[in-house]
Amino acid sequence: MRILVIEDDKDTLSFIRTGLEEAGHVVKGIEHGDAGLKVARTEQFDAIVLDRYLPNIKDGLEIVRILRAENNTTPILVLSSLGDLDHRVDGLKVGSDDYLTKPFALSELLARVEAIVRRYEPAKIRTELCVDELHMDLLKREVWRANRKILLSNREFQILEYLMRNSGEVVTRSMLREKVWNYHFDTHTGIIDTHMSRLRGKVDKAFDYPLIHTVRGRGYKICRDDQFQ
Amino acid sequence: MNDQTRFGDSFFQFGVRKIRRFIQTKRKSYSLLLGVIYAIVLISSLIFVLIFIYHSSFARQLSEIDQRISNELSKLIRHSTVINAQNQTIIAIPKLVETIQRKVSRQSDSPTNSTIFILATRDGQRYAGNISHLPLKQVQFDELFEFEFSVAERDLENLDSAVDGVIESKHTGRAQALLLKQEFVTSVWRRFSYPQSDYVLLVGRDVTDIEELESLLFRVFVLSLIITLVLAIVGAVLTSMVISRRLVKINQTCRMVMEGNFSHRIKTNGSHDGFDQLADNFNDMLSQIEVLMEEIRRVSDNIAHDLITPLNRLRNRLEKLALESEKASSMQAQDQQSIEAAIQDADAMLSTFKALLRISKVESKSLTDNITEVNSQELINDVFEYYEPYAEERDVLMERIIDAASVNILADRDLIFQAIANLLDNAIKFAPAKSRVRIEGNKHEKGFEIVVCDNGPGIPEEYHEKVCRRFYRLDSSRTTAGNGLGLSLVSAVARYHSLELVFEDNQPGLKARLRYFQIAS
Repeated sequence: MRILVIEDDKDTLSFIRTGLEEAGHVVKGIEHGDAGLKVARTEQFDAIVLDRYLPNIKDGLEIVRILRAENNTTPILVLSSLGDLDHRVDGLKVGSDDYLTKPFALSELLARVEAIVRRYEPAKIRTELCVDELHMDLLKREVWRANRKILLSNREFQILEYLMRNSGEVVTRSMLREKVWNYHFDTHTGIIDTHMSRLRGKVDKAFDYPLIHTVRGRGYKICRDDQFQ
Repeated sequence: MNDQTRFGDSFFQFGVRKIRRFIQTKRKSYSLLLGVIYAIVLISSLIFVLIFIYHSSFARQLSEIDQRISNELSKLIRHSTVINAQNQTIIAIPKLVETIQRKVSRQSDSPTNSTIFILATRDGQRYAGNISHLPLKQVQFDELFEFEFSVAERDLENLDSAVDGVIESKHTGRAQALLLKQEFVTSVWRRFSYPQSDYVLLVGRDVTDIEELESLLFRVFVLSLIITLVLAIVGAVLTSMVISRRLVKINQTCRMVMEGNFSHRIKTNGSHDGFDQLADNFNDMLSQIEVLMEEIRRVSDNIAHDLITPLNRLRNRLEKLALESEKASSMQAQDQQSIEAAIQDADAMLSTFKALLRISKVESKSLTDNITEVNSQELINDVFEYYEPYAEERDVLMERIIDAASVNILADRDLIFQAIANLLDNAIKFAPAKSRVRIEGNKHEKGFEIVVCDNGPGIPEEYHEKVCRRFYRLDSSRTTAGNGLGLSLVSAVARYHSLELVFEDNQPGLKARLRYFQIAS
């Protein structure tokens, strides 16, 4: 993927660049807001990572607003300095796709960038999700694995749906917390793990091989067993 | 008259009740003490002045009169003393009569303006003097006494109505009397002779005016004392009220500041009096404290902020190392585990710093930043669901009681979720196995209330305030995981929403109440 990173701090920029490049993406790094806006308008990218606080520009969100006004739908992830938790709402309101506060773990950034890109894949109305022998009927809200029906609570269904929509990709715990519960908050990560172990108990336990995998230090991933690594 | 008394009584009772209540509410009030002292000083100084006036006028006048009476008496005696054949000094009654008559005739005025004389036998037969009869019943011989006598006066104002234009008027006199025993008198002198018996000689002065003045003054004294007493009490109460009202203002501000609201200031009334100066100084002090607090907060925020970046870099390096080693499988499992552990440590530190900064952010947030309508039922259900698996894992039973009617409250959705999550997290963390943790949503008249109860060890009452401080942990909980910031955040969120965070004993355990959320109309 071609990713534009607009970030004025050189250290952070190089950190993001190496991280994304290692994951196999092509990165274009820009340090200035106005230059970044120019590049974003003229070139095509799969995703933009944008620092909210840039010199020469009042608010990084201005770039998002301009791009959206020009019908540019490139997925945008906004980075902001720590503590501006409230501004998350502002960020999402002007049309950015996700919001990440600094400092962040590289894996978190990666997972989120990949997630927003997937969301922008031509939107096909999906009524069914499939991962290997696991099927999810989004209309009837039913889950089947190997022709056996699995009964899930509403929340478990949502977690599984989110995992399956991002199948083959890492989903971090904080992504789950934000997307499934739709609250922005911090708790010790163990709680998400207990939810996951419940889900696994229903989805994986009675079967030959697991579909939900733990990616150490990063999060969870749903995929066929032999595709995990 | 009766009605009036009753009215007076009830009014008095009303007053007493008022004062009693006033005293009860101000039992320890310094201002009331001041007022009472003021009243006492006022009244005692008045009493002192009155006593002084009395002494310097009446007492002196009376003693002068007494002096004159006894002088007159001794003069009379001296003039009428003779020496008899046995060489004894005796009093010659005729001589005495003569002397009295001479003195009376020399006094042109009526006895009310001059000396009163009367000489009579002991049974009341008058022989000389300027009053009609001896006031036998009132006469005392061992000391000065007061007596009543009447004087016939010409009625100048109303000549027609009075008989012969003369009226009798009552007067009060002060006098000294001498009993002249038979054996010490001689009733015969030169050509005059009188019956031989005991005689009484009375010399006095009319003190009617003085008496009247005295009783008038006494009434004035009593009246002025009563008035002063009333005024003093009213003054004391007023002073006390004025002082205490201003003290109350200062105290209110102090309380608000103690509750963490440093922006409050005492209002001055522009009079530049002592209280205003106190308020000004106090306000300056508060500003100074606010500045210092802000500085400390900024410094600690900066420290946290400056540490977060390198810590994060460290974490990312470790993460990269873990990834690489996984790919290359060049590292032993043991080393990989240490890297994982290091990442976890870094995460724990990061989350502490983040929590710290988050609290500062919440504390410094302006009001109504992100307040929206939140469905209380949904909110509680969401938190409940979020924690249920965790509780189950710890073998703790979770239950929820929510008022049937779904209510929309005004709150910052994320922050409230976080606050309740922190409370539940604590509750579950400290709850013993098989015990219950309950979350309640109650609708009250004052607003909505969310309660989290557990049967854990609870928090002793003296620590209820301290546990909300940053990094404060009870000794008993030091061994459990946590950073001592959970409740600080809850209390910051509560303050942000103007909620009360109240801890109660759940017998056993802790009951944490967050109240009262404003209910959206």
